[in-house]
Amino acid sequence: MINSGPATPLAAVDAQRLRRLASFVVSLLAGRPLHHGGPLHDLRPAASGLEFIDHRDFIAGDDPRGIDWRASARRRQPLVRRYRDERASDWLILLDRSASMDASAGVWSLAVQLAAGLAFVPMQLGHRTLVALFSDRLDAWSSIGRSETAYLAQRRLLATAMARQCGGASRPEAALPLTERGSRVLLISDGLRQDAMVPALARLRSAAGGLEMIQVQGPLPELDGPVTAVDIENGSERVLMGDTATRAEAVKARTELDAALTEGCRRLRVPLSRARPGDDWDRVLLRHLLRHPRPAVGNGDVSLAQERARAVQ
Amino acid sequence: MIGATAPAWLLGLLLFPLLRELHRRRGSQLRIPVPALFLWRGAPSMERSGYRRARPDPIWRRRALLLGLLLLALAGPVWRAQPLGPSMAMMPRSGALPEDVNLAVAALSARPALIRPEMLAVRVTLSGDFSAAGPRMLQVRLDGRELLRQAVDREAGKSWAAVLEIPRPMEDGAAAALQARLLFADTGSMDDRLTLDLGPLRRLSVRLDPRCADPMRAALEATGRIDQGLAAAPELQIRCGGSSPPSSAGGAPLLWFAAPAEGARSVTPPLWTVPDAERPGFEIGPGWRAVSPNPMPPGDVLLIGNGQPLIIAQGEPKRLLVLLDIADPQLAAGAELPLLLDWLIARLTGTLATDGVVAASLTAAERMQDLERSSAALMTRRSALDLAFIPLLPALILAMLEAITGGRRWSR
Repeated sequence: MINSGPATPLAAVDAQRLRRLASFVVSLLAGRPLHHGGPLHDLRPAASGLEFIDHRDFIAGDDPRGIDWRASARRRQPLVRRYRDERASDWLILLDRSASMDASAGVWSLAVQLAAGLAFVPMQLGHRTLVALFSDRLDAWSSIGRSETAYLAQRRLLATAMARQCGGASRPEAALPLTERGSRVLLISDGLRQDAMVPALARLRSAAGGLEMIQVQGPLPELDGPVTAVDIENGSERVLMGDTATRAEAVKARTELDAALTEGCRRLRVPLSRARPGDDWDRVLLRHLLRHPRPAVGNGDVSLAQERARAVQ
Repeated sequence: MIGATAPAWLLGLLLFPLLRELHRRRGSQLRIPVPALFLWRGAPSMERSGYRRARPDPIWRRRALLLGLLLLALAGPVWRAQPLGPSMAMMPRSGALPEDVNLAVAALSARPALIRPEMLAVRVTLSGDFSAAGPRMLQVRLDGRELLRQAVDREAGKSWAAVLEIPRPMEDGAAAALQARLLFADTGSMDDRLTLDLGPLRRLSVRLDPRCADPMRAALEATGRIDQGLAAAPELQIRCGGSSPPSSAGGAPLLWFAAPAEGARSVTPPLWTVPDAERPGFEIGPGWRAVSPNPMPPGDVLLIGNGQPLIIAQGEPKRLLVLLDIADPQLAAGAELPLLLDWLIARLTGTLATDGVVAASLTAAERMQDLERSSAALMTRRSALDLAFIPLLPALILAMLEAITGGRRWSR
């Protein structure tokens, strides 16, 4: 079913590994939802679906048709039924294809593998997925679906996708037209923006039902001696002396950038994972999907899933 | 006391500024794409601070050190305990050449080729123990132009020769230096080359009188040394006919043959009156006929017969007056005519006869002198402690580091 040829990065994302990853995730989640919850998750999306979840107290302004009269009678207070929002099952996977993603060897390949794996796993749990490529604009996207046909279409899109050779920038907010309230967005990017991409994450977070990010970063290029460093995205140049001090400055700047992204994600409650070239895509996904707290809707217990995730790692 | 056997190599140290400048310029030409340039915004820019002019790539120091060490090793540093006098150079007193250890160009000769007179046959003779010598190449050059490059046969024994044909030089006054030399010199450097002047074998530019008889034309062509072109300034004029010699026109030597005679044939051979060293290697037999001009021209008589001058030489400009009837069939059909013509031309122009050979060789004394000089230098070197290994060792380590790091700094 899945054959992308040995030359493409997707050759490593074969059917066997995909199924094994999906079975791990399903068993380790133990029935909990794949998407992240948290104390501030929206109430409105949870009320517009068909699948019953639980009851909550009636709040002034609620539609009286949503009151479960029998349960209210049992509890002697008005209770409203909660339903799982079908839109919350839509996963929008955003893959950054700006030129910086191909500046270091292995970054783009790993990002494509992660996108292919992420498109597959939610499908196994009944969710719909959509893969979109962006740079400074929305470049391409697949149709949304949960079928094998939909996955093959997404895989074809990824197999033919290439990072831009030059120009472009990482603007995930360009995918805002694709996001809907309640859908979850999973962003795969190197996060190389002067603002650490935090404003863009905030906009996506407010527009979508949930947001997660996997940051894929390669090592800094070796600058040896006097060189002209050329920004692969905007073409600006600077003559630098590639010595230890210069390298230390760059490492320091990237550390600060990563810290700003971590802080922004923490503030926005965006789960963030990091991956580097050479990592196995399935291990990165497993770590990302299971490391962050994923409470069950209602009074779920996350400790079991976390323990199992640690055991897998 | 420290010295150097080849101190000229130390002049290479003057290349250091060039090396530094090359490394300074290299940086601006090397363009490295980076994913985000703002990551380096805290690093000092070379353009803004004048840093670029001041500092080249620091790796130039390591390479300068490597270059300096190599130059030092090439300069041949030695430690001499005491100054050496000429008495340190010792040679065998027997006078025998140590040919076993030395190859030499023993002889170089050239002569007109037998079949094609317009060509010269060149022979190079080498001597020495070829099996003991290393790989050697023989090179033959004419006026700096390489004619032959051939590996010396190492199975040759004690002597080895190479034969080749080259065109005979034609232009008057043009240098025609043939040189044979052995590449990859050994102990005796002087005997590795010999130079031969081919001037005496060059072709002569001759203006030939159309009245001259056909046998003489044929004899002249047979020499292979005559160029009957219409040169503006011929080297030799050949005139025929007339009862008295013509007046000399221009500065070219003149060879004049008197008009055919009708007199009786002589029954006795003529006699040469030139010194033995100048006498030709042939004799003219009886049956010749002579011409008697009136008055008899003055000059030195070279050949006389029946009391009558047959060949008369005159002074500047050089003239040879031939009173023999060379159109007479008895003389024209004989083998003496080409030889006589060659002898006459050689006497007028100073060049060699038809089968002339020019050769050069080193005498035993010259080879001894050369070997003595070479051996003295060798023994001087041996008596001193060679210190070349001292700079060579760190240079080797630096070169290995350069190869391992691929030209990058190792302090990373």
